[in-house]
Amino acid sequence: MRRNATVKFRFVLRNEDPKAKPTDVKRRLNEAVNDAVKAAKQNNVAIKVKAETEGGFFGLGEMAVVLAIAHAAKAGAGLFAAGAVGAAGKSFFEDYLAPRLRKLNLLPAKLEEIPATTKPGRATKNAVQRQPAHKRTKKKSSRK
Amino acid sequence: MGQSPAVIPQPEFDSPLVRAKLDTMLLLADALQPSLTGLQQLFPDDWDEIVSGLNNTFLAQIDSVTQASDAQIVWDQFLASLQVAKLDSRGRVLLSAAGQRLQLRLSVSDHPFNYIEQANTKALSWLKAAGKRRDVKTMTAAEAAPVRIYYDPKAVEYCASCNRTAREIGWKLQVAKHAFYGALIPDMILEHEYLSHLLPANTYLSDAVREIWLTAALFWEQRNALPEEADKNVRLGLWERFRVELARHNGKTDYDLYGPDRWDWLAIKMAFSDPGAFWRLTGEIIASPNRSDEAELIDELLSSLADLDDGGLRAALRIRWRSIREFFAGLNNIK
Repeated sequence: MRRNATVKFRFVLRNEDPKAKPTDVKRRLNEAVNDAVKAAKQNNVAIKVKAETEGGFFGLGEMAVVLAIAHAAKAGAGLFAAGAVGAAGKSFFEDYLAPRLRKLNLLPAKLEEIPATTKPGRATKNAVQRQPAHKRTKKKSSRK
Repeated sequence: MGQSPAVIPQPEFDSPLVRAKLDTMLLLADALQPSLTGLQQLFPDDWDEIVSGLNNTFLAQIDSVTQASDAQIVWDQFLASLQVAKLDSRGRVLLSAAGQRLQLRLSVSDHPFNYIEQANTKALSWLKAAGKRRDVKTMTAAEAAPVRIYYDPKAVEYCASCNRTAREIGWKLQVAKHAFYGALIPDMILEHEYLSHLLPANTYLSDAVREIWLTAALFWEQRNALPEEADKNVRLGLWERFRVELARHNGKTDYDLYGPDRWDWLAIKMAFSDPGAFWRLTGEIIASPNRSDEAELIDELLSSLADLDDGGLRAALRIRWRSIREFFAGLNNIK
């Protein structure tokens, strides 16, 4: 169990307003996120949300959005497992964020959780440790 | 337990711009549709060009549509076209009546949902009446299914669909040429969904059975049962144009999208020479049990019948049968 885990999600956002530029879409996205967080807080759903777009539009006015969601609990308020944050994140998306995006003519596709990955440094170290014996680097003997 | 709603829009329609597209397309279709019979009588060779003219005007403006009342601007642009200006006065009177209908419909807040709901009611009632006429009990006993409205702007999916588990019909708002033709005959699109996809108990039925045989049953029953000649020409003309544009949009031939032409010819010949046998077989297909071997048997039977020459088909229609299996077995005696 991780303390106050952050869970990341990705979804594709389709812009229905042909006049809106990528900067307008980002502004509307942030507006919807801030408004959704406020509305969620009023219903005692305390979470921190950070939304970032991945690149510009691809295809027909579509862009990928990454949401990082964490519980906004005060210190000592308790521990939150990644699973609990994940469920809260999905609920936040469905109940608060997606309806606000639609009202702004931004159509969100299905939300997908981004699996947590091990830090690269540790992964490399573990990978070396897990290598089969015949592949491990051996010190050459110094027979002469 | 509350009654389920007849029309269920997906959340995408909470977007004002998406809703405006739906409103505009269905307002224009609803306004024009009742004038088409008159236009067909006046201009039997060109009436569908008038439909194309409005469709093209709408599609050219669709990205600028922001509210339902934009339907009026699209309509005015269509009226200002040379195509309409060159119509004789009788044609312009019919279009003027359509314009008045448009103004009336604009004041109805839930117009698109009412339009689809009315089409659904009409489709079910047609299906039951056809079932009674042709003595097909599964059609007579058909029950209403709600219509869920989806948004598919790129038109990458089927323009209508059927969810058998949820017992729902899907109707999609698509930004493509075929969509407006479909919007002019929504009841016929829903009749197809009921007859070819929702009513048949056998989920293994091939696309060709659904899209050729059962669709031919729908098409020819419309042809035979509609009282007015102009109405037949309009509805069936729109249906054909809709299917052609749909195939073109998907970059497929009719064969690829729907099935073999010779099944269509078989249905035409059989429905013409022995309507009783045609509808009895159609009823058996709809009631076929949900098994893959039964679906394969139906494909084999229709393929074998389509292989027969006229003499062979006449002999086949004289076979006495109580089941599709017996009918198929009987073919061995005439080959």
